[in-house]
Amino acid sequence: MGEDLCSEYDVIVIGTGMTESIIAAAASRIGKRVLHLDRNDYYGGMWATFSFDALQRWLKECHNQDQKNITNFKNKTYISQDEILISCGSQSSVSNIDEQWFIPKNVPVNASENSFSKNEKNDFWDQEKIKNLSRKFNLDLAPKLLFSRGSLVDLLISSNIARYAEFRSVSRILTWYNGQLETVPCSRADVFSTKDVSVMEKRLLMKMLQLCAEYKPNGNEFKNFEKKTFADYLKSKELTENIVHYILYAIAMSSINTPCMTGVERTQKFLSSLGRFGNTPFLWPLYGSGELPQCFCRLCAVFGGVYHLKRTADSLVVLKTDMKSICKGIVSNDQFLSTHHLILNVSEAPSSFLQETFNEGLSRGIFITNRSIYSSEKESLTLLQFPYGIKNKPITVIEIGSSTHACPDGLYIIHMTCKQNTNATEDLKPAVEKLLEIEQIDLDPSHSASSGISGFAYDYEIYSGAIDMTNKENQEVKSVRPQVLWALYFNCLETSQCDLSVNVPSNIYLTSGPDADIDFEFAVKQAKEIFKKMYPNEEFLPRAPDPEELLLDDEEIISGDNNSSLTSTE
Amino acid sequence: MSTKKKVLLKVIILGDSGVGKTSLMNQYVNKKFSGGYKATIGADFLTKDVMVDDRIVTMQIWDTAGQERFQSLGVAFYRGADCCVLVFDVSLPSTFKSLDSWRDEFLVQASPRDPENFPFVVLGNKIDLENRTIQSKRAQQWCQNKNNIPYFETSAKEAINVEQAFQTIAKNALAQESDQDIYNEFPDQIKLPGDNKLNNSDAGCSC
Repeated sequence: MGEDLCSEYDVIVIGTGMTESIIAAAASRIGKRVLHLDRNDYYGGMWATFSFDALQRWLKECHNQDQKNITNFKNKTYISQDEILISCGSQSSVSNIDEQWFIPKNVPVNASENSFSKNEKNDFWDQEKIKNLSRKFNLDLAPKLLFSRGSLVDLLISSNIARYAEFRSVSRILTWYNGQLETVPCSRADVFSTKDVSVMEKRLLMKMLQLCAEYKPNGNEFKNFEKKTFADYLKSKELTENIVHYILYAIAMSSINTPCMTGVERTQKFLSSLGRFGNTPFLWPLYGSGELPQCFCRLCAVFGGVYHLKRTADSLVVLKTDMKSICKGIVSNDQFLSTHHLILNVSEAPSSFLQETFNEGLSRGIFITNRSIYSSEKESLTLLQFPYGIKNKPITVIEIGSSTHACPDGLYIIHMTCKQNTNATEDLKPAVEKLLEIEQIDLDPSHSASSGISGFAYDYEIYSGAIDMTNKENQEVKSVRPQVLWALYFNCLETSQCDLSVNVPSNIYLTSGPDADIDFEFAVKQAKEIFKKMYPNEEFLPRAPDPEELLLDDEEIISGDNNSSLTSTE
Repeated sequence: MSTKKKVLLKVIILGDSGVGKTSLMNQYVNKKFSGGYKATIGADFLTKDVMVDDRIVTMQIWDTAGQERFQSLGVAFYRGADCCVLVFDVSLPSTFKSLDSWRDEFLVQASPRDPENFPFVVLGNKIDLENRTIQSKRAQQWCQNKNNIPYFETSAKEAINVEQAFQTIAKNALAQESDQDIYNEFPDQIKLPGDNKLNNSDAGCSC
């Protein structure tokens, strides 16, 4: 395997998801020797972003995962008496995969040329064409946004890791009200310019938002609502129905059952992030959420952390005494690597470490469409909390266009996420049916409808955007739904609510995968907590110096192995 | 917003561990060289303003930060590169053989718009060493076969040809950048920390 790894570390981190990567960066930053491994040949684990091809490979991998045999090491040379070897797990965390195409494999060139030459701009999409644009896609397994004043933005800035990433601001917030999409006025400018609410309502809305923004724990405003729901509170304020809807679902991102104070806090969080970047409180990482773990990994590497993809721990060496057990290191590719602390993504944890079987999950949907769910002149980056999922659980919808470097020109990617109820396909159905067109595009004219135009031509017109969405004062016509070209549904584990420390040796820390929330707050919080347990007296990710401040000093150079070449083994 | 477009060029340096990537950067930007070798620590990216055709451009040169040692450079590293510098050690044939895979890796990961004409520059480093094994001809041949990649023989230690090489790198990166300007439809990308002047007056909705 080319160069050998050094065999002693302060921290070994397994998995390159968000939480693991933040911890790796933090440990490396304070001078700890960090080894960071991932069994995959890409960064991010369940937080990864994929090209179209890479996503196909990932799907194949998921299908094969069940047969993956866990190597049982009988070789005891690594361990002494009192020590035991525990095989690492590889919990398959993805299920109910359902991939669907809605367009033909390929459209014969003459078909599109003959009949539809008038529509040069709106090319006819077929599967082949999508696949050929593979690298233009950056498809997130866990799409997330950043609150402009959330903990991740703060951390990126304070640690100076922000220089590795670029963002776009979410440009609009939509909601689903009275059977249609509406823009939610959330900034002050929005409120004044919107035509959807009356002047009276504008005043009420502003007043309401101000009340929430100014809320202090000992104020009187919310006194009698501590035990009631946020919806109850809003209703008590004699607001109109649509204003209640905007605040409850879009701004507080809540549901009818959300407790009052939770709703107030969420509203506050939303409002406090307004006005920093762009028109809404949210940022989207360019090229997708999977960039962010890599930014932290880079910082870790810059401070000496060692990176090795396609490598993981086969087993853990644990010293058991009467009182407690302690991890001494890992065995990886027949090499014993010692460590003081071990960070382990939950999917890599031996099953004996997990107290409970996980029953929480996320339902995810990724859709490639031919237009926006709500067309407008300029390409938008959209957040929508669809309020009416299964059992009234909201479905988070994020729509991104080509300006995010996440999909090719002329296409949109729509991400949907909600808590798992049964399976992703069923769970997301309420939003899919309302927002998207999921008929198969049929190219065979013999299937034509009885109407004047052939089915093919009709399909084509709807589908290609020949029916112009934008010209007619961008009003009613907006409601023409985007055609889904390709869809993927899957479920994955959600362990953010689980206690992951119960059966675990004291110097092993398990980390969660992506959680249900829209932002990265949970990952940041978990990373901070774990770091604090490892190094209670150390600063968490102090600002990294700019390169200009850091001139390599001649004195500090230590000579090392001169002939390190890794490619000789290729 | 300023109307004068500030040009920032992202240059990434690839090549096997120990060929002198960090040293070359350091020699070029800081005019310094450290004799001993240690795997890259602390090197991130270095910036330098350079004059190219009467235009001042800021060149940002990105080091691999050691993540290349076990072939673990993530795709994020390659994003938005304007020029790719491939480095080998003229005394180590294996590092020369690796050029092909580094070039391929770059084209796959960075997926530039026009791979055929993307600017690469090849540096054969450590020509100050006695035990040279890769002769100029062989390296030039390789470069010619790859659509005439410019080739320089350098010594980061003796500061030979480093300035010239990076001048070419800047020039070619700029040419690539100007080509891309046509496609730059999305000027409103955000770098953090952003607009600080809004920080005090931001409770957005208070009126």
